[in-house]
Parts: sequence; C-alpha cells; structure tokens
Amino acid sequence: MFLHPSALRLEQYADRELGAREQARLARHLESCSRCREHVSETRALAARARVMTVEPHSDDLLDRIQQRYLSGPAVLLPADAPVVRRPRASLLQAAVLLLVVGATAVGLQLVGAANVIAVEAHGLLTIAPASPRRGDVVTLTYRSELFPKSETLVVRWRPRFASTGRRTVRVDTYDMAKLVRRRDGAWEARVRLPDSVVYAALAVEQVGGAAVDNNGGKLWELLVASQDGRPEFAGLVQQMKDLEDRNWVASLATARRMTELYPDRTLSWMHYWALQDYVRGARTTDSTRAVDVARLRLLDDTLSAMQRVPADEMDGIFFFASLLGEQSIAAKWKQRLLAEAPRHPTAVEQRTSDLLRSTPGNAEALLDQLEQMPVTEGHLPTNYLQLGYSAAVQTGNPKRMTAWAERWASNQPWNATAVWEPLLDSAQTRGIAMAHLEQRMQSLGRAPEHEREVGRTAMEQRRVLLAETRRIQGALGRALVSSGRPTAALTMLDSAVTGVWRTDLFRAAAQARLQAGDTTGTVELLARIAVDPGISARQRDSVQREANSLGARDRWPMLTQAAVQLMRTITFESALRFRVRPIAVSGANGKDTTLQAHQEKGKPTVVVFWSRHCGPALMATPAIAALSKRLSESGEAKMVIVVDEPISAELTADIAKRGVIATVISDDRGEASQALAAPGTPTYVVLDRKGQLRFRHRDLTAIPRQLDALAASASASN
Amino acid sequence: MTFRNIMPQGDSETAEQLIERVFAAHGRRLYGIAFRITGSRAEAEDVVQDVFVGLPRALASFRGDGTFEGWLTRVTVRVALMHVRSTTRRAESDLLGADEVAVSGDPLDAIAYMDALRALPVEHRTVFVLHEVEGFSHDEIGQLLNISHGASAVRLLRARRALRTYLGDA
Repeated sequence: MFLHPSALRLEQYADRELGAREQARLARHLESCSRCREHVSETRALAARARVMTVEPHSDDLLDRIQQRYLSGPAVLLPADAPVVRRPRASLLQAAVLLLVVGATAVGLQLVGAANVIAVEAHGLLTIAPASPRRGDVVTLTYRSELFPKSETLVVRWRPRFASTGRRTVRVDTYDMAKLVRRRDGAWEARVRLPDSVVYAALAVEQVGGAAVDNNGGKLWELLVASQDGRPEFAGLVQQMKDLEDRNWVASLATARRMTELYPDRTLSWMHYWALQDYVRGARTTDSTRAVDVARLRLLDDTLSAMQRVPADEMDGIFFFASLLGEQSIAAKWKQRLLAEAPRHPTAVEQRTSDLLRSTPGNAEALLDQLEQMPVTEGHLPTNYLQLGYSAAVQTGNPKRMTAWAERWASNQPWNATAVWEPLLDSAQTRGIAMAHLEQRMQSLGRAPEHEREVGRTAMEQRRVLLAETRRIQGALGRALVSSGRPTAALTMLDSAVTGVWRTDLFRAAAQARLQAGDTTGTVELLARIAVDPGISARQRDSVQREANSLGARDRWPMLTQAAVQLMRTITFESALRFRVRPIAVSGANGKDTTLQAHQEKGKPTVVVFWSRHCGPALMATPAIAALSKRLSESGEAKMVIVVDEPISAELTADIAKRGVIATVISDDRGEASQALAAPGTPTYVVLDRKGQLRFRHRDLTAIPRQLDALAASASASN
Repeated sequence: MTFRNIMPQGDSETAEQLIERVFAAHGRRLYGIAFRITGSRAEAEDVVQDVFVGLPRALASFRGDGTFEGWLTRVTVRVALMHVRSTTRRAESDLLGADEVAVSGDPLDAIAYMDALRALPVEHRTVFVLHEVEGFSHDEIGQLLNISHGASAVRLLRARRALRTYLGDA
C-alpha cells in the first residue's frame, strides 16, 4: 500500500524546500495523485492571494507625524538586531518527530518572543592595530559605524595616561589624538605614532568640533601598551585600573587581579587588588582571604628587606598593603623607610601631613610653618597637604598666607579653582584677589578649554557643565559685590547668575540685591521662584510669602507663583532625558537575583540613589538623602531605591536604616545598573518616571523634588 | 559615562532628511508588513512611526550583514510583534474595512481573506506573512522570532490549515 506524503511534506514540496531527490520523488507521486496535487495547488494559491492583496497606502500625513514626533516626542530605542545566521535545516525526521510530539500533546509551541529588550546607546566599532602596541609604536585606528554617514573626517579624542601619572593623580587632561579619514569602503582610518611616555589611554570617536560623540556605549575604547616580553606594562595596568575607577569598579577590580597574575612580585599589585576587593566585594571577601594575604605580605616584606635598594613605589605599596591588613609593625617599618629614603614621594608627604595634624591640633600657625618647610614636589602634592595648608591658613586669618595657599591649591588642581577661591570672598582682606581669580576662571571657562572636556562628552554637554560653573561663579561674585557695597554691579552679575538655572540660593542673593537697589517688582518675582520650589519647607514658604506681602505683592502673588512654576518646569525639563530602560539584573537580600524594575512601584516614579558607605561624598550626602527619603515616604509621590556596591547583609541594611534612610536597598554587584543607567560613581541620582523611563540623571540631590513635580505635572497634562 | 543623543548628522544630511529619504524608499513596504502582522491600519502606522523615529539612532546596529532592506524588515517585524503583544484589546474602529484593502479581483474575497488572516493567532500569522509574502526562509524566521526552523515550519503549516478552514477551502 502506497502512503501519501504528510501535509507538511507536501507544503515543503510546494515551497521547494526539499532536497533535489526528494523533490523529484514527490513530483512523480503528484503526477498520479490528484488529492496531493490539489493540496499543493491550494498551498501555493494561499500564498499567491496573500501576495497579490496589497494594502491601501497609509495616511498621507504619516511622514509629517513621524517628523514631528522625532523632533518633539519621546526617543525610541529599537530592538537590537541579531545577525541572521544560516542554521542547518532540521531533518525531515526531526520535523516529523516534532509534529508527532506536538500533535500528541496537543499543546502549541510557546512563542519565545522576539527580544523585548531595548538596546541602549547605538555605537560603532573602533579597532587598534597592533592591539598591544609598544611605547612609541605607530598604530592604525580603524572605525566602522553608521552613526556619521556623511562625515569624511572624524576625530579620535583621548585621555592619555603616562607612567609618571602615578596612582594619585586626580584629573587627567584630554586631547585630540588623531584625525580619522574615510576610506572607500566606508570605514575611517588614521595612523598615529604614540608618544613614548603614554602607557594607557581611554578613547572616544567624535565629529570634528564635538557635536556628536561615540563613546562605545559609555565604555570608551582602550589602548594599553605592552612591554618587550609581550605583557601589558605594569604602569599601563595601574593607569587602566585608575581610569576605570568611578566608571566601572568591577572592571577596575578585574584589572587589579590581572596585575597580580602578571606582576606577582609588585607590592602595588597586591595592595590595589586587596583594596578593590574590599570595596567591590566587601569585607566578607577580604576577611575570608586574610590568612593568605598576610602570608603574602610577609613574603613581600622578606623579599624587599633583602634588596639593597628598594624603589619608592614598592615601599609605598607594601606600606599601604600592611596598613590595610592592619599589620602595624610592617606598616610602621616601611613608612619610616619611605619618609627617610624618598621624602618627596606623595605618600611620604601625605603621611607627614597626617602626622602633623595629629601632633599640632589647634595650632594653625605652627602647623602651617611646618607644612611650608616640608620637602615636597610641586605638581605632585597630595590633596590632604593642600587641604590642610589651605584650611590652616584660613584659620590664621592672615590674608597673605590665605592667598598663598589658595594660589598653591588652585595651581596644583585648576579644576578646583572655583571651590578654592569662593570662601575667600567672605573676608574683606582677601575679597579683591579672590574676585580677580574667579573672574579669570570665568574667562577661561568662556574659552571652553578643550583639555578639560571629558572624553565621551559632547561639546554641548561640556557647555552645560561650564555654564553651571559659570553661574556658580557669577553668583559668588554677585554676593561679593553686594558685600563690597557695589549694588549696581552686583545686580548685573546676579541677573546673569540666575539666567537659565534654577538655584534658590542665587534667587535669594539676587532678590536681596534688587531690594537694595529699590526694585520691588524684580524682588517679588525672585521671591515667587523661591516659594514655588518644592524643596523648601512650608515654614520657609510662608516666610517668603510674608516678605512678598510686605512689599505689596499680595494681590499679584498667585499670578507670580504661577509664572514661577512654569519657569521652574521649563528649566527642569531642559535637562530631562527620555530613555526606555531594559530589565536590569541586580541582587536583593541574601544574594537573591532580582531586577531593578521589580522594586518599582506601579504608577509612581522611582528615585534611584547610587550610594556607597565607603565613599566620602556619598556619606556626606547621606543626611540629605535621608531627609528626601522621609519626605518621599510621607508624601508617597515617589519610591526611593538605594543601589549599593556590596552584597546586601543584615548589617548593611541596619546601617542604612540607622542613618535615617527609608528605602529599598539592592546590590549592583554585577555593575549592570551603573552601566545601564550610566551612573558615574557615587552618589548619583537617577529618576525614572512612572513608566520606568529614565528621565533625569545627575549628582545634585536638591533638584529631585522639582523634577518629581515636573514629571507629575507632565503626567497629569497627558491624562 | 554619559548618555548620548547621537544624531547621525553627516556634514550635509540631518536626521530629518535621513528619515524622509528612507521613508520614501521603504515606508510603504514596511507599513504593509506592519499591517499584515498587526491587522490594523492604526497600529501599523504606530509601528512605522516607532521604526522611523528610532531609525537615526538605531543605524549603528546595522553592521552590514545582509542588506539594509532586510535589516529594516527585521526591525519592523520585531516592533510590530511588540505592539501586538502589548495590545490587549482592539478597538472597533481598528477593524479592517473594505475600503482599506485594494485587490485585484473580488473585494469580498479580499475582506474574507484579511478577516481570515486576522483571525489567526499572531504567532502563526507572523510566520505566514514573513514566509509567504516577504519570502523569508524558515531559518531566517527562526532567527528573527527566536524559534527553531521546525517550529517555524509547524506554525506555517497550522496557519495554512486554519486559512483553508476559514476560507472554506478545506
């Protein structure tokens, strides 16, 4: 008895998906079997009807609507495309078995959905050849991307680090590295000779002028120099580790680990590895390896002690390693040797400074004298030395000394110039010189110094950063002008300071200047701005309103505050983003796998706080975070989630609760949250709206209440 | 690390010009795919809007494997499927009317066909449209929908079987 082919087989025949022999065999069968022949015809007819059936064109204005939405609406991130790979066709037997199984169970196959993940930043691909260049080599940079379809030239921007950069340098300058020129195949290329002293660099690709930047999805690209034996240079690894701190702690730890594997004889390898392990993985990890670490320390101690001459960096490394492990006698020994044999080494200076502070408490003059006599190397001064000298000088009240130390700090760390000179505005004796330096800083900001533009930051973002600092300086100068009895100049300066920014302290200063100048109209407008800020207390609001009433603004107050609210929301939205966020894997209590999204509350925005109890700035911000968390929990306007960098333990949650923070705590142990939300270190605040979209990301906590207000207003407008 | 609003602004073409250019070349075709998958003109237009609004930014994920047209098609199918899955209920006004389908032949036949197509489960309809109308192989459909070759073939089989039943051809 002859068996008819299955429906599946016939349809595969109709689709010409069978092998040649099988196709021919079935064709012979069809010649004499009308039933199967009919099935094949119907199958082909179904397809033909579907193809012939064209759909009426879309609306005429579809393109217009697309353009409008592109310009004004939310950004759309399309699903990532997986390259189509030819897979071997399932055999007929496999298909038949599948059919049998499916038929027998009568259960449809589960649709494993197309990715509902929204890809984050699109980026191109930059390759460096050779991948591990030597110092001073010529490298070829090749860039492929669809991001800049019409650019004939692009720029590689880099943050080069040198062997001399050391492990303490806080800030590294950035430069244009090379010009990429487009090839016929559409890729861009550049050849450049590396300077001999560069051991590591972080890179980004941008349009000429920095209008648009490709920073490799936030990760940047890297260049690491190799030594003669093919290993990456030790100095390069140290610089890579430093560069990754703050932007990817997990990757920084991985680099430190690599240092211990490739350079096990270097004390700095073990010191950095231990410190990063402790920071990223927590004390539980380092406690569990203590015995091994102490044994290693003792071995290193023996090895170095046997050497005739010990390099200063090795003494630095072993001193710190011993200190971190609490091995005081070894630490003390190497500290003594470092101070004696390399007194100008930054660690030696730092240690002497700390010792000085302990030995001369309260005596600012004596402290300062000793600091000034200490052997140091300008340009490599540790921050504690600059800070201590500066604050001691301020304590003495001696204008010459205050100015000298401010100049010293500002010249060693120019990016801190504003913070250094601002306090000196308060004293009449130093006000003049402080104002002169701040004006100078403002002018240099106006020239937009390129070497300060971070790699991966566009020119526009840099302008925003510079604008924020400029406004800060203008506010400070304005207040100083008021104190100097120059109200007209103060007014001009403060008017500039409050343009395009929302800062209640500047509004207050400007209001005072206006009042002094007799301009009550301008004064009450500024008071209205202060009153509408959701960050101020009810008591402050009442006080401001009373002040406005006393200036005759009672009747106009509703109108003034309404206008102020509009202005506040406009300014707030200027810094708003809108990105859909993919599910982010984090860890909850007991290391349980969860997602950030699982902790959001439906219908409410979420304030995500990246925080660490090992981070100074984060700890300093904790009281403000606690106050905000209390406010949010009382008002119910948003939910707060704290993202920490260590595993969740009962001890940690108790610590956080003790600090008054009311929030869910989750752990970003894989670094996914900080990458997905592009959170550059702690503390960073990210606001997700009620739909889970990323709307704000910044390091200023005080802006959050008005950001939540703006989101709420926008949400009710769209309802 | 900071987010970028990367605009593929070349030296002379803005993103808006890019959108317009690609829409002129592919808009109608992509709309057709979206329409056949979603079964609704309004939803199909939403899908197309999403694709084109996201296009400038998404261009970098096109690595040059295969054609740009294929890439666009795949992206459109994914977005259409996302829309279908997120829509829990279709409004009456979204239902296809006779004036929205132009055919050669009997309009009633066309309506019946489209109704039958829309009556299919979206998983089957998608495979049918991709295989029969867009010419994708089961390998390609499998990659796109993250299913096996065999699963794609079975869904097509079921789609055809159901269409025969709906259309009285069985």
